[in-house]
Amino acid sequence: MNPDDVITIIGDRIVALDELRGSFMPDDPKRKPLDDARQALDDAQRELAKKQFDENTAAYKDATGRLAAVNAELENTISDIGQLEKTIANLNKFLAAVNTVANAAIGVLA
Amino acid sequence: MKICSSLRTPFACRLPVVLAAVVFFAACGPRGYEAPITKFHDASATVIESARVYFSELNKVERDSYILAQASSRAPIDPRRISRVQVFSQEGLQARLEALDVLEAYGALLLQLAKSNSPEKIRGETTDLKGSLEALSGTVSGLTHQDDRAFRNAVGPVLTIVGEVLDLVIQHKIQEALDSAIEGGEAPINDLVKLLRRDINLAYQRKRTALSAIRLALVDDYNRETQKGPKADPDKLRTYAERIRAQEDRWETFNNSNPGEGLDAMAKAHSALVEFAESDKKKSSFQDLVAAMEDFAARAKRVGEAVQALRDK
Repeated sequence: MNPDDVITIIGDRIVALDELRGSFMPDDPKRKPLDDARQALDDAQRELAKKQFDENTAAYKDATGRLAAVNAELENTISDIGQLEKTIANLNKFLAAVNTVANAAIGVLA
Repeated sequence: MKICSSLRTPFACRLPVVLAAVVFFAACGPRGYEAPITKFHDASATVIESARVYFSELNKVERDSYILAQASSRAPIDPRRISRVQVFSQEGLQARLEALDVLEAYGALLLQLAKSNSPEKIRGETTDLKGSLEALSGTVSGLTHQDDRAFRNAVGPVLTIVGEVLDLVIQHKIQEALDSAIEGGEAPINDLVKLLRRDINLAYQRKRTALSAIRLALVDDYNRETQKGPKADPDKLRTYAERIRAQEDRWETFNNSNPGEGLDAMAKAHSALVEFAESDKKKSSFQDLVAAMEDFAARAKRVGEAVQALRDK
């Protein structure tokens, strides 16, 4: 998974998350953790966009491998409103995996 | 072959290629480059313009997205955060726009080299390219973030090869300049295109994230009004519904407008051009070249139309 793929995958999950958020009224308490996750993913995607990576390092390979696995789990639940709790748990795992990828960066862009 | 995938019989499938070959060879100048380079130049110009739109808008997308998010959650706006959310520095953004200028000027020079043996007739393109190179060189050397090695590393070889081509043109060695540009330029130009492709994809993805937020904000406005039950204002509901409809149209168009696809096709078309030049213009390479140029032109057209549609809305 190259850095382009990482940015794209985060974007795919953000779009799916926005569709899930739209299933709840803005003041519904169930929506709050989804709004928080959306904000965190948005920030993470923007910060990753500024970073440079060496795809050959073990840290990068491990981090993106973990992200791919967690992404598959999240993809399975995020469009199912009946699995909200599981989705929130998967979102937290996904965010942690994204942060691990960010920590594998070697520099920042101009 | 992609250009004939919708046709059923082998003859019908080959026919467009054969016809294109006839037209192509008839249109070729003595050096055989004119027709493919014309197509390459036209499609490149479309893709480069689309990429320029995304780069130019990137920081605006981030600013707008932050402001909208604060407004949606009814939170205060911090002016200091507006500058912090931007992806590229002003210098970094400028360097990328200037790299696109160089690619465009390089394509224009290639086209004129293929059309004319006269250095006088290509003076304008030579001057434009030289100006673009000097601007890019100055900006890249002034980049303040020392970690942006990848961009500097990609720009350096392009500055070298294009500089060499310009020297040959000045010495009136037109054929040598053309051959050198096509053959020596493959790796440097494609490396730069690849890097710009990565940057343009992130610009595209950030815009996608921002547009997705707008979609939801509009739905929220509508749903909040419906929550009022019989007291909901029908005029407001109609207005909100119209906004949702327009945004969904924009979203649909946007999903066909990633200039990264055009840059991928541009790198492939450029490699096909080099292969054609290196094969001494054999027919088999020519057919590959026709296919690559057709694919590139089709993708460039689609991306260009989608980007134009987004600008018009």
